[in-house]
Amino acid sequence: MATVNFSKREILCKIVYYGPGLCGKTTNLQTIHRKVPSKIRGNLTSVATKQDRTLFFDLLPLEVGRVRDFVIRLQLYTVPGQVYYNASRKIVLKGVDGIVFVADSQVGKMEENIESLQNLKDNLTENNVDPATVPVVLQYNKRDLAPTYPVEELNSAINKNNLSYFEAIATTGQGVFNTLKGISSVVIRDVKGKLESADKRKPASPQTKPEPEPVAATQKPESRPPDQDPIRTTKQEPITKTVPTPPISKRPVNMPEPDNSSSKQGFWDKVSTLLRKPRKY
Amino acid sequence: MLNLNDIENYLDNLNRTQSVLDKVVSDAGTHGVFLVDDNGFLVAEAGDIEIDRVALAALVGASFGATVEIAKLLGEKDFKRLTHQGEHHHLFIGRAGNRHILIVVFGSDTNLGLVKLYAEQAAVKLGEILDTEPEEDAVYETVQPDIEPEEEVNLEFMVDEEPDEND
Repeated sequence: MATVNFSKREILCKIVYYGPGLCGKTTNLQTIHRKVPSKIRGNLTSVATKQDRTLFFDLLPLEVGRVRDFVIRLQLYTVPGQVYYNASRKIVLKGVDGIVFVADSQVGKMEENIESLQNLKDNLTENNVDPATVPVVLQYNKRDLAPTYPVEELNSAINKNNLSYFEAIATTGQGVFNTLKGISSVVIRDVKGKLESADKRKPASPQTKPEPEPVAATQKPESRPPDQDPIRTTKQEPITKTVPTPPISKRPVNMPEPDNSSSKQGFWDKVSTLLRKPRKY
Repeated sequence: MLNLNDIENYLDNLNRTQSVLDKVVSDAGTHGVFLVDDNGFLVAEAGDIEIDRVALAALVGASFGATVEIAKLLGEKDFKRLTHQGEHHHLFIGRAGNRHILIVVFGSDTNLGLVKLYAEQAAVKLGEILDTEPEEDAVYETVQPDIEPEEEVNLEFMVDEEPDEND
């Protein structure tokens, strides 16, 4: 659940990069840190072993803009991929708003990918989070390290719910930002929905989503019937270079009729007034 | 549902929280006091120490979460107070209510007993203030602006470029 901090006027969203050991989660964050302008990112913090394996997590804060008076800040986390560190992964997953599942495309790694995805579902459930309510996108990393599985094979094994997916080579940066943009768009839309109305907090249905726009051919997965995979499908929200127009929000049935003299700007004016009001203690 | 009163109460609580944090700095002579939530997000702060606040909040949030798991192994619910001793800077970390963590950074110019006294008093007061707030879901229900985030949020920098030659 994203956190709205009224005193600092910011909305904080936690995005976690999850996946098996050595799949490239930390490399994703290192690439983002290297390529993003320093004015919109914070420091990259890593809790790693002496061998540079993630021990607890990596953290990279990013600022992506404003909603009225509120700055939207993303906090990108990785988890330790090694099976041994499951307790640490569960702690990092607390309060997650969106997940990038990084899969290793190399032949021979499929079992680890499947195990890690199942572990993600188990840990969310143990944290009392319904996996179906958390936005997830997939990244098929290491596309340059032949032999790799064909995308169709990866999709049939770990993308049974037709999630958005991105091919990547994290070491060069290829696909890294498209993945980040993909999860950010979904998470921000998710937060927007939560801010808009209580009754829109349930998982979005296809009817409430924008019309699909064309996506790059290499990123467009085959349409396949969904199965019992509990992780929420985000494929209905295609990721393009242009952020799709959000759906027109529906007013909850239990809301009073709108006051024509008080626009939505009026509400924010009132909030801004509250924020600027001097308070003595 | 457009409940500005709830937001006003929330802001009043934040101000009461701020006064509690300021008091720990002034009375115990600490360098900095931070309030973070269980998810590792910074909520409020006092003092003038130069530090990466985002990293501090995330690390302490995760570290405190880890100690909760250790406590459970011992049959405890959690460890309510932790201290870390450095050469020049020391940390007191304590549970503040059910959903927040108080972090006090202090130096050798004050003593742990004094810090513990004021910090524990502060933790109790903060718990009384913060635990009266609704859960996050309920806070969301009070805020219903029809915002269009994508209009003001810039995600365009998140588009892949050609790889660097030296990559």
